[in-house]
This record gives sequence, structure tokens and C-alpha cells, in this order.
Amino acid sequence: MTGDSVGFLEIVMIITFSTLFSVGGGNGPLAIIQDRWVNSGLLEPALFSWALALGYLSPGPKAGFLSAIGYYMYGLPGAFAAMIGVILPSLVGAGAVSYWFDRLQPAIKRISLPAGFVIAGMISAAAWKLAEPMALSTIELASIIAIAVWVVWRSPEPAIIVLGAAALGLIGWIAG
Amino acid sequence: MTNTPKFKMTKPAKESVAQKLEPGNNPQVSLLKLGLILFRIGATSFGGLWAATHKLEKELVSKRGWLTVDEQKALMVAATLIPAPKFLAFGGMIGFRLRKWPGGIVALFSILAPPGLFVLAGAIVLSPENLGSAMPVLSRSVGIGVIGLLFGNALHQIRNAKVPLREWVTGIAIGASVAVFTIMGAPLIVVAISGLIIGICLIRPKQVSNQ
Repeated sequence: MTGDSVGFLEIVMIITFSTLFSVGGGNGPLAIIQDRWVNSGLLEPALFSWALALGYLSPGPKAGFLSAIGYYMYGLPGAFAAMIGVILPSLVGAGAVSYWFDRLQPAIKRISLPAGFVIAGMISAAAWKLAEPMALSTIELASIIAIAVWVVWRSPEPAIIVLGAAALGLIGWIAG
Repeated sequence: MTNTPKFKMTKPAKESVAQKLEPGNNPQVSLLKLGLILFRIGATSFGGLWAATHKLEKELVSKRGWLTVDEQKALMVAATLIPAPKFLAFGGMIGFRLRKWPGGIVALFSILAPPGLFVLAGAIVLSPENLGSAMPVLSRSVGIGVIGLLFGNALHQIRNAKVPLREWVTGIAIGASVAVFTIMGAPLIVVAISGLIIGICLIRPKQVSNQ
């Protein structure tokens, strides 16, 4: 699975360090983990990819994939170490920004007017970046449009969409 | 705690207890309740923070009244400033606003627990060899669902913007520019802040019609 040279503390430190590269989203942690553990042979590339896939299928923050990385590196204590590693910078950052947030209410009110449009742009870019490497077929594009319209009109639970898509994928795989 | 609210809400989404809440140490919201709600959000939200936008609005604004719509938007933007995954940063700020540091810790563990445990269980029980050729098909179909969800949430943000037509068109132009520059590879944080600054200059509160 992995080398024995990685311990609890190192996992906490590497994950914390890699999390610092998450500013504004992006794949900073992936690049750091790949550089430190995959490229050095401590973590098999297949397991790294599998952890990412599991994170993609799981609910909640995608950072959940780090628990699998930690597990592959140092068993259950490693998984816990990875969670500590991602929570530490999140907690400090959230506390610091919240501290200033409360003192910047007038500015926040000004920001909130254009924020919806900026967020819409950021969401669209995230969706585009996911779609770009997939080389989508016409049917898949139509499915995406149908889902988007459904979300706007009926506000379905996201879990229904994702689990429904997974079920259709499984049916397609079994049929194919 | 003083009875004087520190926030002056101009337009709460509905009659909201957020008007009565101060930024931290709110005894109305217990740590247990905070943890349970954020655990539920973590367990039922798919596709990351952006994909969960609408769900968060329903849970935190409409149902719980912990935030106003404007505060939620501002916190989502502020989450991009924190060197951490955005969903976690957002959850941490919710916890911090309601119960300061204990709230932040509880919120972060609660929102991260569902995906952490799910992935860990998957790593222990399954392996790529077990699933074999099903994995790429599954990933692709889930990916299509998430992409549709993301675009739907982007449209939801635009649809819910309560500004006059001229500012609405300007806002769409700003949003489209943010998307294009981000897709072209510009750093997200730079693009987001630039979009906000331009938006603040062009979409002023005075210009917003009475709602």
C-alpha cells in the first residue's frame, strides 16, 4: 500500500501545508500530495486516483478524499491525521475572516449586490472545467441542460441528481 | 449578550432569527444542534459548495434563519479568501459566527465527517480492482449530474438577483467575464476580487429599486 516512513505528524503537516494552496479553490492539495507521496513512490498512483474518485462520489466537501489518502499512508490513524490536517487551516482561516467579517458589515452589504453574479461566474467556470476534459456527447450535453433547467425550476435535492446519475451509469454499465 | 443587534438587516429573506443573533456565543443555537445541522448538510450535499448553494440557502436562510441571503452570499465569497477548501471554510465561518471557536470546531468536524467516513469506508472495503470497468462509467455519469447541478445553481444565483434590469445585465456581463477569465486560467481569487470591485462600482445600492 505505502511506505512505512510516513507517520501521523508528517501526514498532519503535509495535509495542512497542501491545504494552504486551496485559496479560491483549485487543485493545490492534489499537486502537493502527488509531488510528496505519489512521485516519491510512497503512494501508488492507482490508490491516489481511487481516493479522488471516492471523494467525487461522496457527499459534502470534496476534501473527504484526504481521509483515504491518510488511510493508505498510515492506516486509520493516518485517516484521522489527514482530517486534522485539513481542519486546522480551515479553522484558523474561518476564525480570522469571521473576525474581520463582523467589522466590515457596511462593505459586505455593498459586496452582496454583485456577489451573486460573481458567484454565478465562479460556479459556471467550475462546471466548465469539469466538463471540458470529458468530451461530452450530444445526449450528455442535453442531459446537463435538462438537469440545469430542473434545478432552476424545481430545486430538487442535489443528492437525488447525483445518486440518480450514478444509478443510470450503473444501469448503462450492466446493459453495455 | 446585549439586546441590540450588531447587524442591521436591510432585507432578510423572511422573518429570521438571524436578526436576533450576534456574531458569536448565541445560546439559542446549541453546539449539538449546530453539529447535527452541518452534519446533515455534509451528508446530503453533492458537488461541492457551489453545487450546494441552493440547498444551503434553504437550510440556513429559509428554514433555520441563521443567515440572511446577503450574508450567505458574502460568506461564500469570503470563503474563497481562506486557504482551505471552500465548503469547509464556509462551514467554519457559520460555526464561528454562531458560537465562536467552539462553534467553528464543531462545524468543521461535523461537515467533514460524512465525506471523510464515506471515503474511508470506500477505501477500506473497495479497491479499484473490485469495481474494474464500472468505475469510469460511474464517474462519468455522476460527473454529468454534478455539471448540470452546477450550471443550475449558477442560473439560480442570477435569477434571484434583485436588481433593476440595467444592473442585472451589467451583473451578467460581470459574471460571464469572471467565468471566462477563470476558464482561461487566471487565478480564481484575483478574478473574483476584480469582479467584486467592478460590481461594487457599477451596481450601487442607490440604483437598486425598492424591493
